[in-house]
Amino acid sequence: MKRGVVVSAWAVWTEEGVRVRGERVAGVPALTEIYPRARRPTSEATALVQLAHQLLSARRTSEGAAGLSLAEVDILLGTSRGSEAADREFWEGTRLRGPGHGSPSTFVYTLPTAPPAELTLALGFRGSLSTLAAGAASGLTSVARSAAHIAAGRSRAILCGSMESNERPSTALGPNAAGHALTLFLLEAASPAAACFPRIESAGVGWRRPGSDGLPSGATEDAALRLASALDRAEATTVVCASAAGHWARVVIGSNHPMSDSPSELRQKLKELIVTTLHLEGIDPSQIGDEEPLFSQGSRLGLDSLGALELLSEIEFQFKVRFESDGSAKQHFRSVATLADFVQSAAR
Amino acid sequence: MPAAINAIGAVTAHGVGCAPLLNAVLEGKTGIRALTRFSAEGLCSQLAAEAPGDAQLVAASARFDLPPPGDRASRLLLAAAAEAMVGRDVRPNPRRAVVVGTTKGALELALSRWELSEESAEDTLSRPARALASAVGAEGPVLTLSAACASSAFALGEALSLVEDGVCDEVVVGGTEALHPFIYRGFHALKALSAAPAAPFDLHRSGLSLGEGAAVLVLESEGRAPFIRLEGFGAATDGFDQTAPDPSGRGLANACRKALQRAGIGPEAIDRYHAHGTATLHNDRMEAAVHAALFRDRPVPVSAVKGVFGHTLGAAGALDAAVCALTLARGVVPPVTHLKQLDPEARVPAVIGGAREHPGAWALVANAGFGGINSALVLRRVERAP
Repeated sequence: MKRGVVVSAWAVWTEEGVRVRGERVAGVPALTEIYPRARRPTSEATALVQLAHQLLSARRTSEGAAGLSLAEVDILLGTSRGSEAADREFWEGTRLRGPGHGSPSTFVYTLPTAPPAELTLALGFRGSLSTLAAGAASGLTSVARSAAHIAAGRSRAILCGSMESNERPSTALGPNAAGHALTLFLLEAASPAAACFPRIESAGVGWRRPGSDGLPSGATEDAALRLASALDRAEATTVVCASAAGHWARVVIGSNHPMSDSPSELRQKLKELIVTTLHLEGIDPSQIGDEEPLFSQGSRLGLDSLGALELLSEIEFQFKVRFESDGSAKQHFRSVATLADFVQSAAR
Repeated sequence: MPAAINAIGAVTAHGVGCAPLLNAVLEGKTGIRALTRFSAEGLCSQLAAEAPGDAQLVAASARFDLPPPGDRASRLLLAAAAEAMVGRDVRPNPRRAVVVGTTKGALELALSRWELSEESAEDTLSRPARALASAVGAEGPVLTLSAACASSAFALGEALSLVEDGVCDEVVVGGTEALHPFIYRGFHALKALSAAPAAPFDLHRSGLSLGEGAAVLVLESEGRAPFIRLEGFGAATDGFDQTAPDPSGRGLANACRKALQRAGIGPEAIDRYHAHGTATLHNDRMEAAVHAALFRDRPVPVSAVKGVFGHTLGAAGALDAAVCALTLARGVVPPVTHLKQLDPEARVPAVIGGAREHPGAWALVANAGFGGINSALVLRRVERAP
């Protein structure tokens, strides 16, 4: 990827409730509190606005996050069944009341893009807007394609994800209905200000005729939800989805990447790495001071030059950074704090 | 990086093929006629631009050697693809992608399943794209985009990105939409249907005429001169209303500016404007505002072809791009069909009467849809190999 891509916020709404960046949200404001001028949105559209509102609130209060202008945020949401609930309602209406008496407002919602269009009205998104369908892989495909657009510099930020659950496709829609899920991700171009967010390392999509060879193995169910759970756990992982109709998508979340760590998390990881790499049995990583000298005579860490090389190589491997071989590395090995500073700056 | 449009196929009310379409567009012939496929009794219009019957569509796509698809949107798409893929390799290839724009896809399959109370199978939206992928041997990304009446313009934008990023060597991209009583009743409910054939920008126009059809274009990184290139795509939303466009045209103007920026040019370089031109009051006046905002007083000629083959919704963007490419290649701008007396509130330098010779190489194709969705494509005629 040419430009780094981070996930600056994510939110899920399942039958178990709302979770934003891994934290449960007790009370979601009603639509009228978010958007007093709301007219007749469907339950899907209402839930979409409510969840996106929660996601944006979390994004705006992020530590170190730069301002985000919704005028430049695009929307690309995955949906495999489009506007099925509205389709049924409109069609039934014209059959019960007569062909000339369908509900105009229901008809408007038979466009898959009608619920996300409500986001532009309620919250002020003004970028591009479309939905993407790729069978049961639609949600993860929207994330993968969004990552590609940002990586290529075509977009600064994209709201993507899945407008429905693929787990139980026959169940009724609506945020309170069993089996329904909304999963949203806000992807942004990586920047120093967005360094604290998890990173998308790579992403890809494709298709094989069902029954032919070469379809990657991977669960079909709720790939977007699995991606959100991995982000909740700050877990480096590859989420793959392969649908029965042949669509596949893959999204790789960065491995132990310092961009995704807060400074204190990074220091803790480095302390653990020192203990395990140098076999310092009996030392509790959290007892190591941030400024404690690593090299000095009589130090309990007792780092010698071979130990330092061992640690250096491990840090390069784990954090995908590179120390220069011009002797400058030594200054970074003064303390955990100096190491963390180096890793964070080198990763950028 | 732009992409070359190296092949085009189309199906409209004028039949299967680009030739009858181009002929109708240049002569301003309409395909909007009395409905035959279903009854519109009691509705505010009985007209539509119907594409050929299923038997003809299936015959046109016989070379693909596949069982005929179970839905009309896929049959329309494959008939258009058969023309675009003449002489082209259709063996399975992971470097070949398919992108399709549609608003309702295989809608009739979903409706019949509900009537039988059967469970939904894997989606109906992306069924036409999969049918096309099977036909042309695409094993790269197979994507379906929905963006209301700009759906297949978005598909072209996505296809351009796949070529630009080097993900694919070849993208078979298009749009398809089948007429169905569902859609017809919906536009009746919205009071958008005209009892007379659509007359964009005309003082006496009374709304849109629905149509159906498909267009398929083959995009590659290289072309053989002279050829038409897709140079840019841009999109933006109004945030104004679910149905009515922002009368100021701000959203569509933003989409146009983004497309121009991606093409690396300014509005002063544009030689012709292919309007969305639905012949609704709101749309036409909004587009007049966009024309004024982009081009100031420069009389960039405007053409609009929905009087020729109706408003094909999800297929409109790809058909507009196809018409633009075909006429750009010939150095002509087509007329606005049925336009006799320009609406003074939608004053644009429309091409009136017949097609006009026009040497300009750069074209802007605009689309706008419900949800305040706007898009623009920039096409260019390349005379010599770069």
